[in-house]
Amino acid sequence: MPSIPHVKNDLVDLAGWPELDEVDVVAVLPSYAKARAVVWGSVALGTGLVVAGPLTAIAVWGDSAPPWQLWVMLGGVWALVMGLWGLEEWKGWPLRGYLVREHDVVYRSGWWSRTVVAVPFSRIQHSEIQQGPLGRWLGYCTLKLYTAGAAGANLEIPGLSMATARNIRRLLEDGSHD
Amino acid sequence: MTDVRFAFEVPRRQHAVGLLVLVGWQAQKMLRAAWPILLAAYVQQEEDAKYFAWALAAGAVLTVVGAVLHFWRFSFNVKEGKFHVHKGVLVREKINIPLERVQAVHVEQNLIQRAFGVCGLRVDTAGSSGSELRIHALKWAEAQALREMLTAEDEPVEVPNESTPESEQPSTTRTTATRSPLLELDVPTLLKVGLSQNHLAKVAFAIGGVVTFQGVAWEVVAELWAKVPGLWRTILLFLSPLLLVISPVVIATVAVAISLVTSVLKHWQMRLWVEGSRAKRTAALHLTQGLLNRQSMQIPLHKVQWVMWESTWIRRLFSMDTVHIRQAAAGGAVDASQSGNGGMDGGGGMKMGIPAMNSKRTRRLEALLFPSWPERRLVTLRPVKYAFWIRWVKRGLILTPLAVGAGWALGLEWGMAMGAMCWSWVGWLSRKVHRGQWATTDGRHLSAHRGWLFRRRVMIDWTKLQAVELTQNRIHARRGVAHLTFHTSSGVAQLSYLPEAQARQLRDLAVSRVVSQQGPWM
Repeated sequence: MPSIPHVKNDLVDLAGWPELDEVDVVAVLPSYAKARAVVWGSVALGTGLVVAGPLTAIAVWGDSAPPWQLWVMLGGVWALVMGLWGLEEWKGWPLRGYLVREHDVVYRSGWWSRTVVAVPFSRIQHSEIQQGPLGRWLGYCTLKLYTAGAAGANLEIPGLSMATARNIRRLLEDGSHD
Repeated sequence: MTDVRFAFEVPRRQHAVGLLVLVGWQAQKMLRAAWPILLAAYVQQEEDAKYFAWALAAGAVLTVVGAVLHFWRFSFNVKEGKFHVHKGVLVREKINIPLERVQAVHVEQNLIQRAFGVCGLRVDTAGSSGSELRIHALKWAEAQALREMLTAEDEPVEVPNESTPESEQPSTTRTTATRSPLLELDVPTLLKVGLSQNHLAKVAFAIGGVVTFQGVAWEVVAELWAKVPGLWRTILLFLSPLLLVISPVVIATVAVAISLVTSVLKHWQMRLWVEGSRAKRTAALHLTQGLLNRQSMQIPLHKVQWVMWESTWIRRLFSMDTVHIRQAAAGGAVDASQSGNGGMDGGGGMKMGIPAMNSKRTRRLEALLFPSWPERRLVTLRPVKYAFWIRWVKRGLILTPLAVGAGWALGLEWGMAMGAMCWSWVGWLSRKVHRGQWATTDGRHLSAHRGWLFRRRVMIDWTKLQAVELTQNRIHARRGVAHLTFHTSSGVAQLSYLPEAQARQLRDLAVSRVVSQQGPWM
């Protein structure tokens, strides 16, 4: 038996540890949904043009029209990929959200594969508020919280209003000094 | 000791042998940078022999001059809690490192350094991950003294809970700990370590070597062949198919020999011990090893973040595991590109690999690194049965094309037989792997086992966690299953296919351990 006496000091009252209730998750800004829709739409349009453009060109200026099977095949793949992505975005949107508790931040995302990451305040090394062109246009920003762990242990909360991001950051600064 | 310690107050240069070491070091660097040019020059030797010689001479002169200048302009001292270094030839650099920023100090000794009885010293600092400092030559005793100065944390760091009980008897812990080393590798054990390496990784090397030398080998064989009398030739020709049988044996032998030699070179006279007192947070795991390049490193016990035991079926025959101990990465995140580096390479955190851990040593190491383990009765966590079915079906589907192919080529019966064989084999394997996946926790630590033929056990302390991640896909959600990933600052521990309620409970418990933990985590 290892005779280390200081073990007793940091027992936790196991009955009273705080449980995370995901019902409390706060949804991110609707403008961020708009941004995701814009990204989805422009990618769909872009890839659609890339697929349909050359085929149309061949059909119009070429010697013979491309077989209709080719249209169906390429179109089907395009529709399937974009459809699945769209489904993920559509169904995933209501699930996307964050939760700030007294001692930690939680972020939940994903419909098909759902991930919930919890990062305690005391482990956050530095934070970053980022706002790209889309974010400036639609009025949202991304809060990035970095820990000392590898990439998987960093937290990125997109779709916050500037005020919320600043508030979380302030909370962080206060929390890390106690 | 005090006079040596005093000698570091005034700025000083390294030992004169450092000049020689530097020449060797710089030559090595230069060769590494310029070998394609040299090779090209050498290939065109006949026309450009003169230039080649000139280039070599110029390189040599540059190397020597560079080494002399570097040696001349490099000085260091320790003063007022800071490690000062002055260096640089054209651009003068003054580096001040506060001692509390020093992450690790490595002492190493290569062949030249050994011949002159000096050793090199490398200092890793927290913050910028790439930056490190090297002193090329110091007397052994001086290096040890300097290392002790650099790694000592004089100011008592606030550890409200841990410092009081043990501070009454720090001297006793120190002496007992230094007297009995945790591990001393003798030659038979060392050979066992060599034999139990992963030989498969070396097979590629062995094949490469055989291919490289086959040209020479053919010439030798042809020469010998000419001298063989006629009767023997027929016998040899008759026996020649044996070569096909022998060559895998040769390759295997070479692979094993490579493992043996490399592990003897690396772990020669390995010694592992603990020094310092836990109350002052100076207790550290020390390790020295190496035949040609002698190295010595240490990890402070309180900085250990992640421990992994690794065993293969060969190692289990000898009942020896290899244990990997990781300290928090200098400068934060462990880069994927850096984590592949060996133990002494700087950058992505300090790692220590220790072979030949039997169960007794493992128990001692556990008691050292996780003194409160097990804090209370252990709870065993196992994946749900569903994990086994998923694994079986996935692996089975991967092998099914084999069966289909067999059925197409040889007929339905053969296909069915092949399919049955594949699926039963995969089922058996999945069962083994499923059984090998389990974890225990005492509410503060987690010890997660994984694998069947190649087994891994990761152990972490939840109070040192960085983040906890819970993942499930739609199907998992419907079945009430979830995966948990615990991120520490130098590695992860994963529990997959837990019952969802249990996973959530564990996640909340782990987070609450972090929150309730007082004091520093590294």
